[in-house]
Amino acid sequence: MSRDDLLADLQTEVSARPVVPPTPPPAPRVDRGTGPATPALDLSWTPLRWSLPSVGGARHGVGVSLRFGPVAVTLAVR
Amino acid sequence: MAVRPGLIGGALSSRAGGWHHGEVRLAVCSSKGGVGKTSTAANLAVVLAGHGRTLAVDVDPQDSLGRAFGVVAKGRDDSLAGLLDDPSLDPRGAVRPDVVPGLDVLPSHPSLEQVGVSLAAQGGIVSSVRRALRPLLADYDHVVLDTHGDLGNLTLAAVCAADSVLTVFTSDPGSALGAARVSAFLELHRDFENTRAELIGVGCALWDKQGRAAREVLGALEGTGLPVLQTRIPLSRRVPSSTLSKRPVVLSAPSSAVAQAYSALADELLAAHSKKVPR
Repeated sequence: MSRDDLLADLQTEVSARPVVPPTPPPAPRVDRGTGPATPALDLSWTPLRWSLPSVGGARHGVGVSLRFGPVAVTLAVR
Repeated sequence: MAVRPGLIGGALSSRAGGWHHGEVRLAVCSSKGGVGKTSTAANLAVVLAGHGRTLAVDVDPQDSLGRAFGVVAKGRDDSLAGLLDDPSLDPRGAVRPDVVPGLDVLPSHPSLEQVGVSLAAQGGIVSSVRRALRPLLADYDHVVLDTHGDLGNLTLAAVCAADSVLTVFTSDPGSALGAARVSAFLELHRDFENTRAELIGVGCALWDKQGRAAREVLGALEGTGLPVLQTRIPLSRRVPSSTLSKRPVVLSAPSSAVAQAYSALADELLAAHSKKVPR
């Protein structure tokens, strides 16, 4: 590279505006405490706990849990 | 013993008289690593400390500036990384006082890289270093900030805490292009009003006066109109030796040609600063 070539490159750089990569916007905060409750349907497989068919309350939140054998189906609002 | 002109083997003695420049907040930047930036920052900080209380700030996650003085942060919280991440921390807790008489050091830590990424995502990166240093500034006449060898977010944060910028080049044409990119980077961020820092000098480090490439690169840079400084820091084996001994060369070999060149560079920079950054 000759001095003239380098000078030309340098002049290009001096007059150039570097491209600034966009900074991603901050992720929106998730407010877990104030929104409306969402019903959730859970299907659990519990091979180590066998139960006769039964209906009971959900362990977490307000709802109902249907158990038969190793399977529990829960509909609850948390 | 305070490091004053005339007291370190005569390296600074010839310049003892005329130091009536204002405060300097100098960021040493390059878009390329390996150009002697940290050695320049460390030696300039020592020379400036001979003329007023000085703070050397390491804004490089590689924490090389602190190591040049034997200062290593134990963890994030006793370094600049902690101050950027947690505004409630007292910055004085992370500053190592009187590492050299008149010179305090605020070290970096490798976690600074992740802290920078996090602050960039949250939107606080640009002003982060300025914010962290603000409570300290009244204690110092001069601040020298060393940066990583790139023009990324942490370098921008350092520039935004500075009022002047020095960039460094060598006989490598790539380093000259890097110096030109620093100029364009500053122009861009002045347009964005992120900073008012001025490029007060383009310094030549690792100068090989016998080398044709060095002369060609220097000649080309002088043709750009950038403020190329007259002082050349010569290529010297004393500089890596001084890094090993954790004493910058202006302290470990004050009468050497390279130490005297750093002293002259400080003199030239202060004169340029007083012209370009009026108070």
